[in-house]
Amino acid sequence: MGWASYQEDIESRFFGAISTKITQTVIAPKRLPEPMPGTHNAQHKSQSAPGTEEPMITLSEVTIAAARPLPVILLADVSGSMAAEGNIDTLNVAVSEMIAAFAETDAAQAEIQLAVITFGAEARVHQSLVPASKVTWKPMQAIGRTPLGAALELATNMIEDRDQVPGRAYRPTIVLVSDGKPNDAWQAPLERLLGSERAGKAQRFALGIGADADLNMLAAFLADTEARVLEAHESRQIKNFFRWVTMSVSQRSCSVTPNQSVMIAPEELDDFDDF
Amino acid sequence: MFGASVTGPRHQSQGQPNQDAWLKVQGRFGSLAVVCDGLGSRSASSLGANGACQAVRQAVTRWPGAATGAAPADLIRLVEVLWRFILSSHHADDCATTCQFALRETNGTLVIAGLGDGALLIRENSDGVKCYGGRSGADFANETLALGIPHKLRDWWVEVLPPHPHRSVVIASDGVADDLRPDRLDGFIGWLTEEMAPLPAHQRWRRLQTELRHWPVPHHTDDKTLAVMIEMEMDEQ
Repeated sequence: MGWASYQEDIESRFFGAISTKITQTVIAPKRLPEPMPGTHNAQHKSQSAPGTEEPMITLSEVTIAAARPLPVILLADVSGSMAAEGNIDTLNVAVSEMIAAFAETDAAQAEIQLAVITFGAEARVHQSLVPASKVTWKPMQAIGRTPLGAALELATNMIEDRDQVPGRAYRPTIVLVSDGKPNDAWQAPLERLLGSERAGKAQRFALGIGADADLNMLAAFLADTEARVLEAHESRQIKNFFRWVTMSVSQRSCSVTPNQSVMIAPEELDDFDDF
Repeated sequence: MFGASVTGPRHQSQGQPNQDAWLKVQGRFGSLAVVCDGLGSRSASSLGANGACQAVRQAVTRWPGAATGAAPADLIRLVEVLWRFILSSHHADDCATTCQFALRETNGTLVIAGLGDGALLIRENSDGVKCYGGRSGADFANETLALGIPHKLRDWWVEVLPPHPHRSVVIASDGVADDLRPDRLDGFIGWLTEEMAPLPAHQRWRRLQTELRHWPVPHHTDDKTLAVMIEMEMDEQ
């Protein structure tokens, strides 16, 4: 219950104690029927104020017609080496399955949004940040080297941009997947990401693919002694990683406290003996 | 002045009380409206929010008023001390709450202040809407400064505005403020002042409660509270 009650709305506790200009207006009320639950917006929409042509304002016109976002940003290594052993194909399938799962998540608290930043021939936004249900997935191509630093800059800029990630959003999640060593200066961009006011708060996941993955770099990205860099040496382990990410994010979106990380231990998944 | 507060779907499903609190009161100091939003993660945030409403009310009775030249910072200090005093039998952290208020002094001077998320909107004439307070740039949803968690006096925002004959003040907890379209704040104030304000008090309260309960934003969860202060010339009343 709020502290003030209906009685206080009729008359302030000290009403009349002093004369002020502040008062309830006494303009002839534009009476509306008491709205019925679940139908009030539809009812109001077609009504006009009595005696005017001006349509009444409705709450649905002045509020944001979307749930609070829960952004997920995937940083995907699409260097030429990802073509080996069909890793890029496996990654494409795993990501598309993750998108489908996010889109089907009947989140009670948040709308999962997804962006994909690839780094290979160049660092670029492969998929802009939109609700997962609106993503039309275009498979990634493996080509070029590993410009991770530029990709980290794009991710930081995306999260710091309040037009893309507004203040009403829950803390973002960043997922980094890489199979090699970065070929650009990545330390300074990583420091910027970790030190930034907003991006630094993101929940982070990291996956190293194959024997050449730079596990130290991935651990630096996590910047959490309790977090684990996961490794994948087979295609099913890549899929399992994304399944793990999907479950963690989906559980967050349904949690009563979506800002708090829900870190499911990989071992808790039935067939997660791979990690 | 009028307002309403409803328990959000999250607290309803958990069987928890509304952790927002609001207050409107008139006295020798003028007119006061307060909206406080207890932090959902704290065990006694409902007490904290109610205590903050009381603290502001007691503070404005002790503060000489902006019209006397008294420093607004002293009003904030009073609020801080009185809140601690009112909740002295509890850990402050358990009672953490945001706090926003508007004090319209008897000469028309308006003192507005706030700590934490939510928003205080002011429309004067048709000059557009000014938005005060709100979430700091680095914060995401449900992250906020509050009474009861470490902060400094400068974390409060405070403004003293001169008298104005046509002024609407709306104080909203974050459950409302975060979901408002920034480009339609004027429409929101218009909805309150033109659709809600003219209604008879009982009908208005029921209508406002209904609208807040059936908030048109998908998956909304938060408690929602509004307090409205409308000022106009005597001959327009």
